[in-house]
Amino acid sequence: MSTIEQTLKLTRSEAEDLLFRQAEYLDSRDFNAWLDLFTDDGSYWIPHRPTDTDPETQMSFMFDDVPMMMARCERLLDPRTMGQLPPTRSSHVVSNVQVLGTNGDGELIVRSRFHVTQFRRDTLKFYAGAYTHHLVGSPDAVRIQRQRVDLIDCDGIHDTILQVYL
Amino acid sequence: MTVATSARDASGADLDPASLVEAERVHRRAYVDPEIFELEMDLIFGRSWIYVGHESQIPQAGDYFTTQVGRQPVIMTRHTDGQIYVLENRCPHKGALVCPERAGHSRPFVCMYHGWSFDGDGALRSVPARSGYEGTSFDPKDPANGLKQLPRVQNHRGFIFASLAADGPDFKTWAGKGLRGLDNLVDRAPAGEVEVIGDCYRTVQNNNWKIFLDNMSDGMHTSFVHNQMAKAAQKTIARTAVRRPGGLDVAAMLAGEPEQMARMDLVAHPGGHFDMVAFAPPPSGPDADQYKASMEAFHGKERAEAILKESYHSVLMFPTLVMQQSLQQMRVIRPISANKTLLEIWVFCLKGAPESFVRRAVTGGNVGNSPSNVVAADDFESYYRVHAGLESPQTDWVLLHRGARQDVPQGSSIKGGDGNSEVCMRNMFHAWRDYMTAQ
Ligand code: FES
Ligand SMILES: [Fe+2]
Repeated sequence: MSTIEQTLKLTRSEAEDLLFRQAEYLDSRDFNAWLDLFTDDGSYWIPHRPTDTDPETQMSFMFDDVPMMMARCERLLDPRTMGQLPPTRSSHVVSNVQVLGTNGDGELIVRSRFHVTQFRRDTLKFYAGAYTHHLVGSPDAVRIQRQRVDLIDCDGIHDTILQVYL
Repeated sequence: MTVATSARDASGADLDPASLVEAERVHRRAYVDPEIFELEMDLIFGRSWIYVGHESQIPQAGDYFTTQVGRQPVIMTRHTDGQIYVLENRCPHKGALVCPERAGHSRPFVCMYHGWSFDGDGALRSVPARSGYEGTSFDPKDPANGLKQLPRVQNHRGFIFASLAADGPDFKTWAGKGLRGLDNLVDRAPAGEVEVIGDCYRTVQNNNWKIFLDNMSDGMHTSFVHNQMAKAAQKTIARTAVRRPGGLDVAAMLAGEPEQMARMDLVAHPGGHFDMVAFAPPPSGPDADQYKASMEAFHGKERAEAILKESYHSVLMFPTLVMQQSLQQMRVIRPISANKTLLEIWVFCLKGAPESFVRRAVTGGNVGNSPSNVVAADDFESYYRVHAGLESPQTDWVLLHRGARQDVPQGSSIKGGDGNSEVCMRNMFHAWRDYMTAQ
C-alpha cells in the first residue's frame, strides 16, 4: 500500500508522460515495467456494461488485481503460451487527456481517450474508448491505484479474446 | 418446416451424413462442409430441444430477452399471466423483427414499421387503420394472427428450452440422464433456485461448433493447452496471496499431468449428452460451513450431503448447452455458419448462498470465460488450428479411438475407461448421426 504524504498534483503534460509511458510499455511488451506502474493493491478494470459500478459483484470484461496481473503477464511472457503463438503486437494512441482533480481518497483523476490496434496472425483488431486513471504518489514516482477502461463495445460480440492489456 | 435430406459433395454426388460417422472416426466434412451445416440447422437445431434462457432474465411481466433457436430469431417473454412464452421474433405483417434489442421491457410489443401490437403471449392486439382489411382474407381482429409461439416450450426449474418441431421426444425423454448436471446446479442453491448474474458475455469462435463441443470432454488437452497459464498461476500463488478466490487458484489446477485428468469420471449419456466430474475442490472456511448448514436446513442432512458430493466440471446437453457446473458457468451454442460459432456465456448465483459465493462465481467467470479470459484464450488457438487443419482436403478422418476398448456400460450410459477417453466425442457423433439420418 502506498502512503500519500501529500496530495498528488500533475500538469496535463506530466499526466501525459505517465500515460504515454504506460502505453509504450505495452507496445514494447515490457509487461513487468507496466506492472510496476501499479500500487500493490492497484486494480485494472474493463467493465462489461457502460453503467457498471462494482466489479466485485458484477461480471466484468476484465477485472485484475495485482496477483492476477502478475499471472497474466507471466502467461504473456512464457514463449510456449499457445494463445501467444504468434504473439500479439499492439499500438496505442492516447489522447484528449484531462486532469480532472482529486477525489476524497486523495487520488488524482485523469481522464483520456485511447485507440488501440492489435495484430495477431494476419488479423487487425481495433479497440476504442476512455481511460480513467486514479493516480497516487509524488510527481517523480506516480503510481496507478485504479485504472478503469471503458470500451465503446464492452457489451458487444467479440471474436477475439483480448490477451494483452489495452 | 421443410427439411433438406441430402447435400452434395464436391463432385456433385449425394453426400450421405451417415457415411461421415464411424464407430471410432468422424469425417472432416462433418465439421467444415457448409452443406452439412445447413442440414444440421434443419435436422438437429430444427428438431431438438434448444436452450433459450433462464427465467431470472425476465422477472417482470413485459420483460423480454431475444436470441436464436437454430436459425429462428425468438423472443422469450414474461406475459401478464406470469407465464413464459417463446415467440417468433417476426412481425406477421411484412416480417420485421419486432424486438431488435437483446433484452428489454415492453407492454405490449409494438412493431415499429406499421404499428401492429402484440401481447406477451404473441396474441395480435391491434392493427392501425383496420378498415383497410375489410373484405380481405386477413382478419385483424383474430388474436391468432399475432406472433407465433414456438411449437414446444419447456420450463425446467427455471431453465427454458424450446423446440421448433411440433413432435419428437418430449423434454424429459430427450434430456434423460443428461439432466443430472443441470439438476445438481439448482439443487446446490439453499433457496432452491438459481439466477443469472447480470448479462451474458458474447464471444464468437472462428470454428465449427462441434470442435468446441468435442473439447468440452477432452481431458487430454488440459495439460497441454493450459499448461503455461496454470504454471503462471502457480508461480504467482507461490509469490503472493490470492485475494479473490475462484480465479487464479482454479487456473492453477489446470496444469495437471495427463494422469490427473485420467482420474476424472467421464460419462456419456444417450442423446449425445455427457458429464465429467469436478476437479476443483469445493469452497472451504466459515462461509462454506454456513452454506452447508443452510443446505441441510433446506434439503435435510442426508440429501444435502448427496447433492454436495455430486459435482461436475463439464456438462453437455447436446446440442446447445455446455456447463462448467461447479463454477456456475454456462455456455450456450448459437452456431452462425460452419466456421463461426456464437457463444452466450452466463454465470449463475445460488440463491440463499453467502455473498462470498457470488464473488467467487464472478471471479471465476472473469478469469475463465470473459472476452479477456486466460483459459479459453488458449483453447481458441487450438480450435482455430483444428478447423484450419480440417479444411485441408487430402486426408479425411478425425480419429476418436482413445479408450474405445475400455468403455464401461452404466445402464444406458457409458463410462469412459478413464478421464482421457474420447468416449463422449464418439457418443456425441453417434447421436449426431441419429439426428442427421432420422426420417
Ligand atoms: S411489418 Fe410489422 S407492422 Fe408492418
Ligand atoms: Fe480448455
